Amino acid sequence: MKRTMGPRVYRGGSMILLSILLAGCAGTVPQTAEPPRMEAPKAIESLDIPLPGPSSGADAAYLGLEESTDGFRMDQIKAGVLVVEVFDMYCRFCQGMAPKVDEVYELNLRSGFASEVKMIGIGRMNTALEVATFKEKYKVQFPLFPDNDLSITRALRAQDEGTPHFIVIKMAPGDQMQVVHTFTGAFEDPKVFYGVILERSGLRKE
Amino acid sequence: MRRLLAVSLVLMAGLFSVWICGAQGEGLQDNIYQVGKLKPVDSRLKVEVGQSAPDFSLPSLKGEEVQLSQYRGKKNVVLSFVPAAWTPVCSDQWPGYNIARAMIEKYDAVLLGITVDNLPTLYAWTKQMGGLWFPVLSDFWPHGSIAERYGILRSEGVSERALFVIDKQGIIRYIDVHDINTRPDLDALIGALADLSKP
Repeated sequence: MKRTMGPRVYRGGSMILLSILLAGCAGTVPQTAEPPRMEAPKAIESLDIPLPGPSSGADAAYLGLEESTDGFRMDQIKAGVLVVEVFDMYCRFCQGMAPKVDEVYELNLRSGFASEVKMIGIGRMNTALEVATFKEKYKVQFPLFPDNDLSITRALRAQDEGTPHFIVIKMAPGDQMQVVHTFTGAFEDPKVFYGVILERSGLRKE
Repeated sequence: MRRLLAVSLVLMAGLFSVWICGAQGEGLQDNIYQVGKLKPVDSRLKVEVGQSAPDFSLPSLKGEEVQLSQYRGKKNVVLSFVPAAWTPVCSDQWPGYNIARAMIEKYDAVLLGITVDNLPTLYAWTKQMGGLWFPVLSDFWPHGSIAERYGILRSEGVSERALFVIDKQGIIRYIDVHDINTRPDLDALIGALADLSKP
């Protein structure tokens, strides 16, 4: 009797535990346009995606581009792995996440993969001024680009996603490039998120 | 003993879940009422650029009355009317202005946010935005009277999505009665503020 009682209590406890976990979260969802979720990466047809010129020489150097370039294609970025954050200056959740995203950038700088992994941000439906406002406010260290007409976001197939939305792309010539991870919403720990980037892109074993 | 352990574990997990989930706060976007596509503009403007802005006094979320004329001779004023709390577009327009504060203040301007909602509604809505740095005023009663005086009260009882820039002399220098379905970008507003210093 005692042998069966234990497991039964445990199973019952498990059900109650699950109920409490769900109930605890039901009324308090994360501050994102959509709840954070893991998702199957969406393939992108090509990285032949036009971007405006970087806003500074430092940004151009970071991406391995000529300083004076007026515009370039995403596949010209010198990187093995490109992490793209699709954000919106008006999105309160993107604002709240900005320090954590910059922490990912810092982690990458110190990781030994700094030249391999690069980060950019795409301001969905944002003008150059709005993107600059976001960059200035949160002291964002990686290059941000405006996408007022949604052309970049659409090419990344991120127009229907909540923000912030992250796309991790393993860069390779032509159609060999591969989206290895996408993620929408909040991440709690920048170290964990950075670890996932390295693992999914094959730079670190899972 | 096992029962006690199981119950303790359950309670601890429950508290942990509330802590974890609570720490992330509630989602503004999840509480937004979808209004669908509306007639872009549904009112007839009663003021124009170059005329003196009609004065008004409205209650603010901080409990004080804010009078437009209190800024005369002191500050330029941006009036940002948005249609309604808890609706799309409005719910991200003002959070965007939250990070544009330095730019607006650079032009010696204050921003006043106005809707036709009552104060309790505005309190809950802006609290879920994480708070706003600028005064939020309620044009609830007599319902929409200031919006009506400016000619931006729509037939369904909400205001247009409209921006007015008023200079230190109280003269209207810029008006944007925007398509209610879309968000005005920051550039036009900042451009209008920059124009105030031009002769």
